[in-house]
Amino acid sequence: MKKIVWLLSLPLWMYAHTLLLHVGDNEDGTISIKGEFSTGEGASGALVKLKALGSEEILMQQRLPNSSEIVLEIPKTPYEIILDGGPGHQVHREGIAPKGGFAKNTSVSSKNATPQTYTFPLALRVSLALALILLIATITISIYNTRLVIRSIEKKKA
Amino acid sequence: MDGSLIAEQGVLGRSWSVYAAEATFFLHFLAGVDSISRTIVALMMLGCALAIGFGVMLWLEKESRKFESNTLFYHGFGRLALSVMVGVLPATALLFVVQWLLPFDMIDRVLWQKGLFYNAWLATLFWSFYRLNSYQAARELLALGGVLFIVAVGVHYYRVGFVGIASVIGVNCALFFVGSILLFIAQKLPASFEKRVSFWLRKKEQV
Repeated sequence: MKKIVWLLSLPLWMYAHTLLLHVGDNEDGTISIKGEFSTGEGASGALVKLKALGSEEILMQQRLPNSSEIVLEIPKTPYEIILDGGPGHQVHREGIAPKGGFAKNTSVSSKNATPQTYTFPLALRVSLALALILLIATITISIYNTRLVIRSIEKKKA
Repeated sequence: MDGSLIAEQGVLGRSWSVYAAEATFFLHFLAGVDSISRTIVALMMLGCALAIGFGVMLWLEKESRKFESNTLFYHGFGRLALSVMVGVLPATALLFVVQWLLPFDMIDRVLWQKGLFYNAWLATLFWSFYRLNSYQAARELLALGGVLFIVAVGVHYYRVGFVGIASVIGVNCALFFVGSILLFIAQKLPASFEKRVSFWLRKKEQV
């Protein structure tokens, strides 16, 4: 009975949690970024990325220290803040603009920029290719083994 | 600016797909829910998963009775069920291993992890079809899962070192415990036809 109670209490250790992202403007050209889980635990070690809007360029990336809070300079270009706490725990938020707004030349250049052709990430391409190979291999081996089994049954009957 | 109503969206006036998605998100994250409710939901989900699993196994058992007892039962749905129910264990264990093995600043890290997880699961499907003896396939998948779960604990300590936080130690202990159980089951499960027959007969005699 004790063992069953012990086993049933296992989920208590491993319950799901939501990652929360807090962003504050320090009014001095910097922003404070804080990460925590809905359970109240800090998200130290989670990766904070500042990604340029309209492109895949990472302007800055840093891991949260033990205090789960970092102060970063506000980029001159429009950006978004990504807090990556591992699979299933990623939060996005549009970045706060600096005091004078984002640099004008960047918005003009982004308007004039030629539309980027979207390419699939390498991870996705490799994974899909591997999945296709595995599926084909599974179907092939299934057909081969089915024939083998049918032949052995027929032999037994004969 | 005349105060006229543009659109009204009632809370219950959504399509069933929205309810399904909302329910799934809620059941996954369980934001703002206390530990007791979480445990109850986890146990209900576990019960549902076991009910489906045992239901499928009962149906497969009935299907296999259509043949003589010494005829090899090579059923597509049985292999799929083996991969879904047992194959998920090594795939999940691999997820724990790559979480600490892949470099943290790797580009598209999460995407690589997801790809490896689903491909590992697909690989177990291939293995389930490859092995004619499903008991042997189950044994191998369980053993692989057990080893990977234990390796995950080792990789975590190697990469991060000892972390004296109760929840971290708890997860590592649970992983080691699950890995050991899987190895134990893999070792106990009979592989050959003769051993299988005597294994189940012995169980019946004990009852």
